[in-house]
Parts: sequence; C-alpha cells; structure tokens
Amino acid sequence: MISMIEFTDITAWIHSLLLSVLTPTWTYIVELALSGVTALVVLLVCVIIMVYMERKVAGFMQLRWGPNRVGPYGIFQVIADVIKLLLKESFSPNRADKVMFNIAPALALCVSLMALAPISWAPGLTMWDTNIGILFITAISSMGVIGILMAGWSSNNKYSLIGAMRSGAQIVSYELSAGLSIITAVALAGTLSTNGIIQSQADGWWILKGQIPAIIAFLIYVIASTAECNRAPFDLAEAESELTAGYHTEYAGMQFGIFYLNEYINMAIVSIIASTLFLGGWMPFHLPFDYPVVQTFNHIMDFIPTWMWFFGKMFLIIFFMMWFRWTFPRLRIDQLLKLEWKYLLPISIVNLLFAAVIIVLHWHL
Amino acid sequence: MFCIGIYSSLKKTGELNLYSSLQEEKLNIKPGSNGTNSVKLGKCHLILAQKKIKNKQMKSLFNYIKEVIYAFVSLAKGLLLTLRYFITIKKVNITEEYPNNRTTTISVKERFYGEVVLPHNENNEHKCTACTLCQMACPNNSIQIISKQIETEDGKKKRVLDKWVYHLDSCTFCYQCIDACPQDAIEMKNSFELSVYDRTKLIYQLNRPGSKLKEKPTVKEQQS
Repeated sequence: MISMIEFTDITAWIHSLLLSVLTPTWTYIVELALSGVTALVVLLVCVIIMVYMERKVAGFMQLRWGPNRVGPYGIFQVIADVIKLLLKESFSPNRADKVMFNIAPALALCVSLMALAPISWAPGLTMWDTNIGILFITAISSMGVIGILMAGWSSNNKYSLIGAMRSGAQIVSYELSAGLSIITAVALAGTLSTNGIIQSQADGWWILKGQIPAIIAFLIYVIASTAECNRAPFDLAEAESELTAGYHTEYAGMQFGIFYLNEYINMAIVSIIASTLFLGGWMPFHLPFDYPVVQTFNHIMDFIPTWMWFFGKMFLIIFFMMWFRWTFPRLRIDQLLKLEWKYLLPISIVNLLFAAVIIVLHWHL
Repeated sequence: MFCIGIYSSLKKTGELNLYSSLQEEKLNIKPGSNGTNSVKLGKCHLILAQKKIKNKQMKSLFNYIKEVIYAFVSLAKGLLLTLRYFITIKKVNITEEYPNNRTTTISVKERFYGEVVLPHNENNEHKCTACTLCQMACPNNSIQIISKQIETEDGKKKRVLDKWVYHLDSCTFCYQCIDACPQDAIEMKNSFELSVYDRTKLIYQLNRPGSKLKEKPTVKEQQS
C-alpha cells in the first residue's frame, strides 16, 4: 500500500543516513539547509504551476485559449519567460537610492519566505513545530509591505511612491479583518500551533464544524488575504492604468522577476494558511458524525494521500483568488478603505462574538 | 446581536425610557379640557418623532444588511458567469486560431468587406452596363471602367463594358461603389487573404474575357 509510506519515514531515513556519515552537529546543519532548500524547491514548482494556471484561467475566463505556442498547450511558456527575465539587464535609475533599490526585492522575498517556517506540510513534516505558529505568521505577513514601501520610496518616481503608499494603507487595513478571522479559527481550535489546529480537525474541517461563523470567517479571510497579496480586485499598488506598474515600475530583469515571484509565493502561503485554518490542511475530508456509513466514508477518504489533500486545497483557494481576479473590476482607493472599515471589520467583530458564543456553549460539532 | 446593540444604545440615551413613558400617557388620553388635550397632543407628536428616530435607525441597519447581501448576490452572479466560461470554454471560445485553421474550420462573417467582385452567371454574363457610377462614387479612384462602342445586329451603336479595372492597392473597402451601382452588378466578398509580394499584382480586371452584358427580359417576354 502506497499510503503506508509516510513523510516521517523518509525524514527519519535521511536523518539516520546523515548520522551514519556526519557528526550530530553537522547533521543538524545539513538537515536545516536541506529542509529549507526542499521547501523552496517545492514552492518554486508550485509557483511555476500557478503562473501557468493563472494565464490559462485568465484566458478561459475571457474566452481565449491562453498560452498555446511554447510546447504542448503552452506548458513551457513560463520557462521561456523566466529565461527572458534572467537574460535581461537589471539596472537602477539615476538618483535612485541604489542600496535600498537593490535590497528591496530580496527583502520582500525574505519576508514572505519567513512565513513558511511554521507551516505543516504533512503529518510530522514541519520545519519549525512551534506552539505559536499562527501568531508568527500573522506577525510576518504584515511585514511584506516593508519591501514594497522600500521599492516605491527608493525608485525616485512618484508613481512608485503612490503605489507603495496605497499598498501600505491597504495592508494595514486588511490585516485587521484577516487577523480577526484567524482568531475565529484559533478560538475554535483552541491552539496557535499549526499542527495542533490541523489535528483538531481530524473529525471534520472547521468550515463544517464551526457552523456559520466559520464560513463567514473563511469568506472574510479569503477577501482580506486577496487584498494583502495586492491582487486584483485590490491591486491598487500596481494599478497599471493609473500608475504604470506601481511600486515595481523601475525594476527590470530578475529584480522584477523576484517581485513577480513574491506575489505568487504570498498567494501560496495565504492559501496554505486558509486551508490549514478552515479546510484542515493535510487532513482528509472527514464528516463529524458517528454512523457506520460515515465511518466507512471517512476511512475511504484516508486512502487519498495527505500531500494530495494539502496541494489540492491550496490550489483550490488559489483558483478562488484567480477567479476573483478575472471577474471583478478594480476598486477605487476610497471604496477599498470603505469595504474594510465599514463592512469587513464590523462584520468580523460581530462574527467573532458569535463564534465565541458558539464555542462557550459547545454548539460546534 | 445588532438589535441588542441598538436597544442598549437607545436605552443609554434615554430615548427608549422616554418613549415607553410617553406610550403609557398616550393610552390615558381621554376627551377632557382642551388645554390638557393640546399638551397631550404635543406629546403625541413627540412620540411619533421618537418612533421615526427608531425607525430610521432600524432602517439604516436593515439597509446595511441589505447592502451586504446584495453585494454578495451580485458578486456571485459575476463569478458564476466567468465560471461558466471557464467550464464550457471549448464551446464558447470564439478565438480563430488563424494560420492553423485557414483550410478547415475558419469562419468569416458574410458581412465582412473583403474585395469587390463582379459576379458572372453560368453563361459568362455580368450585369454591368458600364455606366461609371461606381467609378464616380469611388473616393480614391480605385475603379476604372473602360467601355467600347459596338454595333448591334439592328445597326444601333451601343456602349458596352470593355474592362472593369479594380485597383485593390488603393481600395479602402468603403462599400460606396456597391451602394452606387444601379444594376447590383458588383458586390463584396468576405475573402481577406489578399496580400501579394508585388503591388502591380493588385490590379485586377474583374470582367472575364469574352463576357457580355446579361440581357434584360423584354416587356413581351415578361408578359408571356
């Protein structure tokens, strides 16, 4: 049976293999490097799939075919684009703050990669299994704006600066309702650890067990996280019709490529968190009832490997975000702030109260 | 939860207490002396005003909820539309993959203005009487009608078409020649692959060699 081989077995095997060759200290260092590189490679593969998926989804939703020239069904389009970006010159404009200008993309990427640490990829496969994983992620995810602000400020270009400032206002606003909906899920699970949250959904995902508040919190989280990723319809930071390209107007070549990569990595992380909190991460789909039929169903679901559940849910939420992007028109800046402060924030506060009532009275399944 | 909030806010401002006390008084209104009645009537107006305030607050809350629900419904409509496109892309896609399908599935609408043609029937006859109205209508001299005099059987001299020269290189496909033609002799085809390597090849003679004017049926023939 394939499902008998778990990721923990593989990691244990690698650990014993390294221990037989190296000293314990070196084993630890090599394992750290190995886990980081593995996570990065997995994420980069996901990003390549996401870029291709985005262009195909965009095409299909606008009655086009999408890329279909490079390779069968255009699957090598992304690779061609990356080669083009790598071969282009990266230069900084005159009178730009050169150091900050060159640091900004790397910093933005670093910040978004930091959020990977406490993510639980599979049972027993967490880089940093801490008891404050979700708190760490909430703290880090609002730091992403630093790179954008730095890029906008150092470009010596008013469009870039306007874009960066808008992005700042947007992320500061939407951080609140995203945080409140995270708190709803955390309150339901009763723990901040990512592994703990996923374990608490062993008999059903929170979106099913948590009743209406969980559904509302999930919706609000998806909306707010779309805004946090600066994606359409909230892509005011790079509103191309007004600001050319916003904060990355002056960037070329792979420096632009890193910002592009950063957007997709952020999307991946946000959807991983959403799936961890509300859709049970790598946990198979279980129903929270005690009938024999349901138990059989739950058992059948266990046969689907956990990595399939993990990436399936991740790409489902990514598809939602792409779906929003290619359906809704861009909001104006006042509409953006109105949506957050007049609608999402009050609704999420009231929703949190409802969730608290449900938790206190043990009405959740 | 909203209702509780509103209720407590009303209670805090004392409006609700005032409202309930006035309500009690309202029930006690009886036909009595005019003075007291008028005071009580004034109080009644106050009650109505209070009610209005309460209604206003309830209404704004109602509008807020209505707005949110309406927003979700309208967003869902848009989402469903794009999802339908996404799922049924094979059916709804209108993209022509042009160079690949030029010999197979390509479809160009009939109304597309490609090039001017002079249709001939099976007897190699056309309807052009060489009246040159199309030549005069053409804004950029793309049409050149060369006519010749011939002698008919009964000795009459008649002007007939010799060459219908079409300069495709200067044609703007404006359709004015077709509008001008009184005989409906010329029309526009939807062919669009008209490019050549040498511009001298873009000068066409539209009437075929040996073609002649299609005779109109005479009055006698029409009657019979």
